[in-house]
Amino acid sequence: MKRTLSLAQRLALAFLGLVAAVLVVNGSISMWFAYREATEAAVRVEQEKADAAAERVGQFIAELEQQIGWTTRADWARVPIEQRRYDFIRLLRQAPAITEALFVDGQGREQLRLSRLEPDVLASGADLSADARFRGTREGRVWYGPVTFRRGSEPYMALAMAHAGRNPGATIAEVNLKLIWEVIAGIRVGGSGYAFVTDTAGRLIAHPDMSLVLRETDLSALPQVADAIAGRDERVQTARTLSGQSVLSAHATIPRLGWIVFVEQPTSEALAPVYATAYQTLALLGLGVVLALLAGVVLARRLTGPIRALQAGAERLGQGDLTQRIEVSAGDEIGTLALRFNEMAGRIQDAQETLEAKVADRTRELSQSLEELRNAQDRLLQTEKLASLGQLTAGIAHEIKNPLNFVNNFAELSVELLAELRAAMEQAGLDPALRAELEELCAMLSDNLAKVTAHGKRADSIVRNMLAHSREGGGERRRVDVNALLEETLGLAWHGARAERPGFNVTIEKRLDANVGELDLFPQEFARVLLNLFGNAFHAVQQKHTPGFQPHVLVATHATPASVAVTIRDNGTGIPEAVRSHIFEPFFTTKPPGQGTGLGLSLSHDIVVQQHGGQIAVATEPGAWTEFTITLPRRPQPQDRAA
Amino acid sequence: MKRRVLLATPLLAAGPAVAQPNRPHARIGLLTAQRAASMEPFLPTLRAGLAAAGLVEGRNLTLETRFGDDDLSRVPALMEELVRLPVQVLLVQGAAVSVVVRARPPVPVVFVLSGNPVAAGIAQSLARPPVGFTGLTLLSAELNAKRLELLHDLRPGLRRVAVIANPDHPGETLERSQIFEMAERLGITISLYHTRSRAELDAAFAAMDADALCVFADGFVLQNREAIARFAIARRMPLISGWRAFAESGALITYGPRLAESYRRFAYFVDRILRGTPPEELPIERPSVFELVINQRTAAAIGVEIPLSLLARADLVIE
Repeated sequence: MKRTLSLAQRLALAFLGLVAAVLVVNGSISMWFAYREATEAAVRVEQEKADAAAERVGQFIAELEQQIGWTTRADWARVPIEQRRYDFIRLLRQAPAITEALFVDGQGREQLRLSRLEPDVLASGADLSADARFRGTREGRVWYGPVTFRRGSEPYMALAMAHAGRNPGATIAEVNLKLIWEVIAGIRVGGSGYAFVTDTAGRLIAHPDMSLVLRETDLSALPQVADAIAGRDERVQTARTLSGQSVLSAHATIPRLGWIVFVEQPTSEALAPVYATAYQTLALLGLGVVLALLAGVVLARRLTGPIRALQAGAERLGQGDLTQRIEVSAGDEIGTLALRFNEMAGRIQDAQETLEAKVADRTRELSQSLEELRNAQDRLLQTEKLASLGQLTAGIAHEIKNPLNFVNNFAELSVELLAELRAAMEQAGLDPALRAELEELCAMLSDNLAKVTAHGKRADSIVRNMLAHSREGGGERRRVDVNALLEETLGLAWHGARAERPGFNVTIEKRLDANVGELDLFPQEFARVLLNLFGNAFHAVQQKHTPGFQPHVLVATHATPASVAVTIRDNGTGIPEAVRSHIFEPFFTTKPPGQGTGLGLSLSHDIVVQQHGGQIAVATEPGAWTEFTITLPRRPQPQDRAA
Repeated sequence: MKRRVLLATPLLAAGPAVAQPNRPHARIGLLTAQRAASMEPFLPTLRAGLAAAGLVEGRNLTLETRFGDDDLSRVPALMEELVRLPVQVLLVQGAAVSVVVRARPPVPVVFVLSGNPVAAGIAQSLARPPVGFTGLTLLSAELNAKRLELLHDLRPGLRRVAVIANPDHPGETLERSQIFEMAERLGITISLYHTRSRAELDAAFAAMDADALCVFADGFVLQNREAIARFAIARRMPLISGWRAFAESGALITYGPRLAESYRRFAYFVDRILRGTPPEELPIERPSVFELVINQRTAAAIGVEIPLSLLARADLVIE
């Protein structure tokens, strides 16, 4: 399964890779240059060492020459033999490397031979004219013989020098080259490097390990020696020793002698600075990679942290948490992104909240409209019902009115007739008993007739009230100050109530809104409504007898631009639920028979609704309070009297 | 660059150790047919040479010495004893060398020999010693003719020279032939006295009648050097030998290799062999530095005037 790396890991890897690549490239280049530099430096050092070693070996021979030179003076040929011997003794004394010294005269005859090991020979006269050593001095002043190994072990070289003057002789010295060892062993090349000398054939002349020299070791097979003998240009090369060790080898040729001085140093030692540089570069590389790793991780975390926060925020937002906000610290692109994200989330949240609010508003408006519609419908039904009832009542009254007029008129006429009867009886002079009896009968008739008249008038009053239902705005319609009308009517009602029951007392509170002003009304009709409502209120508070009860009636007006509301509230007995729906119906009353006609509220409803286009509403809590509210429009709507 | 070195230092800290103060403990045997006194002048030089190679007695070196007390027949037994110890390297000196070479012990042998090892039949060549052996020659034998010449230079009228030699010494025959050849050339009569014990030496003294005395250097005469010197002074005989120790003990002249050098090489052989080089790969070395020592006190005591040609050669004049 292929694993997908996280952004942080990829970033860290990318950073690491980049840094590592830079370090590797840089390290490799610097290592390459350091290698070149150190190798060249080592080569230079080796070359210098080789030159110095060649110089020292050359110096060794030069010193010998100088010492032998003592015996090559022009006048030396004329000094006595004993003096010559003495000079040779001194030469051997001064130059330990010279094992044997010979003096050969100009004819090649041996005149003197001194040796450290052999007895001295004086004037032997041995013919050495054909000897290579003597012949060598005929060609050049100084002649170096080939290196020979005495007894197959010790390296020797003959050094012959021609004397000065005419027909000169020569001094021949046999030099034990073992003594170069001190020179060679004294040459230090680094910690474990060394120098050695070979002759032109590659045979070892001097080496710190004397045993190699004494075994007449031939090194011409070694590539560096072979190259040096061949005279190749490359003076420094990596090579192997006889024991197979890898060395950096340099050589220098000693002038005149033709010997080759080699300086060799173990490659590992010579190139130690190179290795040091390599180790250092590797260490730095490692350190760099570790640092890059750490930096990569830190950087990646810092970089991906906000991205992850963004991701988490987006997820939560996706899950519906609109309050989710991303904490932003950086002012970079990611910070800006987070900021935009937060703004987006805010806008979505705002939009959603606005939407919800709108839905709530619409719902409320709808339910309000529905409520209003229902109320209107209810009112319409009520109004229709009450209107039909009013018409019925008016119709009944109209039918009753004429017979009642007959009753009333004839009862009045009967009273007049009775008076005429009494007058007639006075004139007739009737027996007084009869007359008393007749008088008593007449009084009884008169009483009866008075009762008929009184009740007739009451019936007439009821009929008139009933007829009021059918009346369309009796009296004039004009602009009336509602508050003033209210105060006037209240006073009338209050006095009426006091008249009816003298001990009656009630607290009346008035909260009249001065902004109510005038309304276009039928004042008489509307006063009737108010009187009715005040009467009912006073009656309600009288009916309540709870201990510590304080009767209280509130009269208030409230103006709005479109309407005026009149509220009359009492803290009386309230209206039971069963009664409430019937209170605006004609002839419905809770008062005892004879005290109320049951037409007051019915008429009031008619007046407010039918005549003034307003509304009348009741709110109540049984046993606590009742509140009637009349709402009158400022512009009376066209009267709608749907039959 | 300095920074690089600083950085590189800890990396190179585990590099090769420079000195080797903690080389393993070595046990070395030293065998001679003579008495302890024969080794007396050389042991300090040998110890110094070994110490220079990092071998210090008491710390990482045990030097087991065995002396035959002038009895060559005891050498094989002493050798066996050292081999059984065992020792890692066997150093053999003087007359004992031939015996040990014949016995071919199973340990590397480093010898020091006054005579010529090729002439003594010990080695085929100096460059290629026999397997298991290497060593030094002190060139005593080759130089005897030279010594006779020095005596002749000292006293040109010299006619009779007595020679004291140890016949057990390897190569003694060669030494003898060389000196006889030279004596014949110089017209000198040689009377040879073989001494391998104090008794023989005393007998030689008693019989001796010569103008000068030449002593073939070896362990036996070395241990008796003072007696010989006293005898020579008493007889007013110029005495010449090979090793400086004789001159320091009263001999008139010594001419021979500088033994301090030779014993340093001796220590070098021990070091190389302990480090694993087979002895046969180390060629037998001849001395390359020679010294002439003249004892002026003895010269005065016996009434001899040293000629300038001799004094000019002298490396050391004991006043």
